[in-house]
Amino acid sequence: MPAEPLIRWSWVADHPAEIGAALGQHVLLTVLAVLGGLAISLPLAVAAHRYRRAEAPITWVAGVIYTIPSLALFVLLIPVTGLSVLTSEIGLVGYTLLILVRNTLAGLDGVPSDVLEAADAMGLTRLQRLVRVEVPIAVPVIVAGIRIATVTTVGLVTVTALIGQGGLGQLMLTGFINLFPTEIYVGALLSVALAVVADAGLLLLQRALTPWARVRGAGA
Amino acid sequence: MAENTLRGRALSATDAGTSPRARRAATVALEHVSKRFGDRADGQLAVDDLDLFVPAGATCVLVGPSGCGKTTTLRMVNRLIEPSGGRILIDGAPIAGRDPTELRRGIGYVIQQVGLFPHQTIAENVEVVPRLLGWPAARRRERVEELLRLVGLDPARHLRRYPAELSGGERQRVGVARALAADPPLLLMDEPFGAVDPIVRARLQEELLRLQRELGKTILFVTHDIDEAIRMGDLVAVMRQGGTLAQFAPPAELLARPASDFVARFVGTDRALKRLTLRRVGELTPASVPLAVAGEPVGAGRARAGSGAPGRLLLVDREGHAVGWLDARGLPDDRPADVAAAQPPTPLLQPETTLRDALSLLLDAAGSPGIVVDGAGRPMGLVTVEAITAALQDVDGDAGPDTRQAPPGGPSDPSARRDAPGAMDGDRGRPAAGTPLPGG
Ligand SMILES: Nc1ncnc2c1ncn2[C@@H]1O[C@H](COP(=O)(O)OP(=O)(O)OP(=O)(O)O)[C@@H](O)[C@H]1O
Ligand SMILES: [Mg+2]
Repeated sequence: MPAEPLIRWSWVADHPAEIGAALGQHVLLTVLAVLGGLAISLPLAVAAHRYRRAEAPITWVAGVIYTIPSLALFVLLIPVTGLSVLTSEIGLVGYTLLILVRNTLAGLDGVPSDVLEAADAMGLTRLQRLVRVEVPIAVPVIVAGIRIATVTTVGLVTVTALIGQGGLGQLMLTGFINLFPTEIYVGALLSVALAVVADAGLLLLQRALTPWARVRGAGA
Repeated sequence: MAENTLRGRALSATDAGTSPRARRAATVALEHVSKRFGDRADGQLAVDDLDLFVPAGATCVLVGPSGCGKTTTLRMVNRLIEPSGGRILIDGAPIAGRDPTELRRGIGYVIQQVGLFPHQTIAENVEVVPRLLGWPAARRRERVEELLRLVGLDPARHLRRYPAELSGGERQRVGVARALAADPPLLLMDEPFGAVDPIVRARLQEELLRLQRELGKTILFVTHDIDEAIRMGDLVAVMRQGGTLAQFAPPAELLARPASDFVARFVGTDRALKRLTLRRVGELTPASVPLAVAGEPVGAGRARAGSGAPGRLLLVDREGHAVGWLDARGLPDDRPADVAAAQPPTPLLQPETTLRDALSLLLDAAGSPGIVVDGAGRPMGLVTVEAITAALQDVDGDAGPDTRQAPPGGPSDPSARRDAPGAMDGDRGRPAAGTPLPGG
């Protein structure tokens, strides 16, 4: 009996739809998690920036969520939301919060004080200052947070295979159950590739959004 | 009462000028303004009972040692800081009741660190306030180009660049353009040239003076550099620690009659020299100069110079340009005046040379009189060290006839000093009275 290869390419060739579906679900779960995380973190970070007293409680809660072991969190959620996409998203979103809140806050705090002074002195309202000045200047730092959150989420999604989701994690899980290395390696390699591609894509997006951040001329 | 007369003067100046700029300047009044920052345990005031009146179109410089409350004072005028006491009026109306954002859109603001928005192009930076005011895009664009040219930047080169791509001096110019964008009647400037090297600073100062001659804005200008204050200000408010006003006067008066030892120390022991920076060669009446046309007989020059055969003749060429000093002693009348035998025609002074620079040049030349030449290099007359020191004595000529009548702490006509060099420009090319011209 010939030894089972790490990847049996004929299986890969025979199952493009299955692999594609797993990859698609992985991407979807990741995108939903990061977008959901942003929808929650951005307002929280802005609130913490504006009302400094809110900063400690907000980062504390996000930090606590971050420290819960992922599997434990999913299991704890099952009695409430069942084996659903919602369960995995609650967990995945929860894990993005700390990174996204922290980076957004750091980005907003990093806006130079002379820029804020000029904005106020020119008669921008608080909201105009936030939307037209502070957030745009914070974009590089915010996107840096999004990149970390995305890469982390791509890894975490595989764990949700244990509660019936998982994208590429599903492939790996069935591979383990059937002692079939090809499925394990295809799942693992594709998730690594996904993380790398997402990270690079976000970097390119950030460069496109902030052409000013790369110019380094005579000045500081 | 004093204020009324001053305002009367400012207003009549406004009425006289029908140009739009005259209507675009505001008066600023601070009445018993104080500021105490809440978190100061010692209860010290940052600004203490400050009274200032700045007429429309004047540049008022706040100067004083670090921490004396200059920035605080400035920031109270656009309500970035609220006074603890007293009130501030712009064009006679208290600003306390106005919406701060609306107020600020009508006041230009320039700071040392500039505070350009790093994520926006130069064009976008300059049009921030016009955009807030809802100007249509075409008008904004036109205005941006006009402003960049006004501050000496090439729109084609700079419009689309980011602040990080500019030098410090260029950024500061953009800062000034941005502050002027919506044509505000009042500009606040907090050490605007504090972060650039001395050469660029001098150039920016010169350009701001030129701009100000064109625009006639009311400017409140903060610096801790007394030389900059004297150079830029129609009025100088010297402040001292604790936020009190030590003296409020035109620069010439400040230098000639410091109100206290503090002011005298602050303006420096070289204040006589500083006073010379306020006056220019063109304000003096130059002594006549014995001229001889190169190539003509020496005797013709002697005859033109009149009584008492002069030792030295200034040689000019056919176009009237000074070409050299000729020692004519012992030369017969019929000898042609020979350029080759002459000394170089130095030192040369222009009407716009400050008396301080002129004095320095004369001292350098071992006391030889300076030749005042017009823009074309034609001699207008001679200026001696004695003439310059004599000019220092007539203190009240320094800032025009108004200075003496100005009430203590009160400003005088802001335009008097600044217009002096301009008036002199009109005389350029015309030789000083009494100067014999070659060939009649
Ligand atoms: N926001 C603030 N809170 C508390 N104290 C302040 C604040 N701003 C200024 N001060 C204090 O008020 C005083 C005047 O400060 P201000 O900045 O007006 O000085 P300045 O004349 O502009 O000095 P410099 O030449 O150093 O810029 C200082 O003692 C300063 O410490
Ligand atoms: Mg200051």
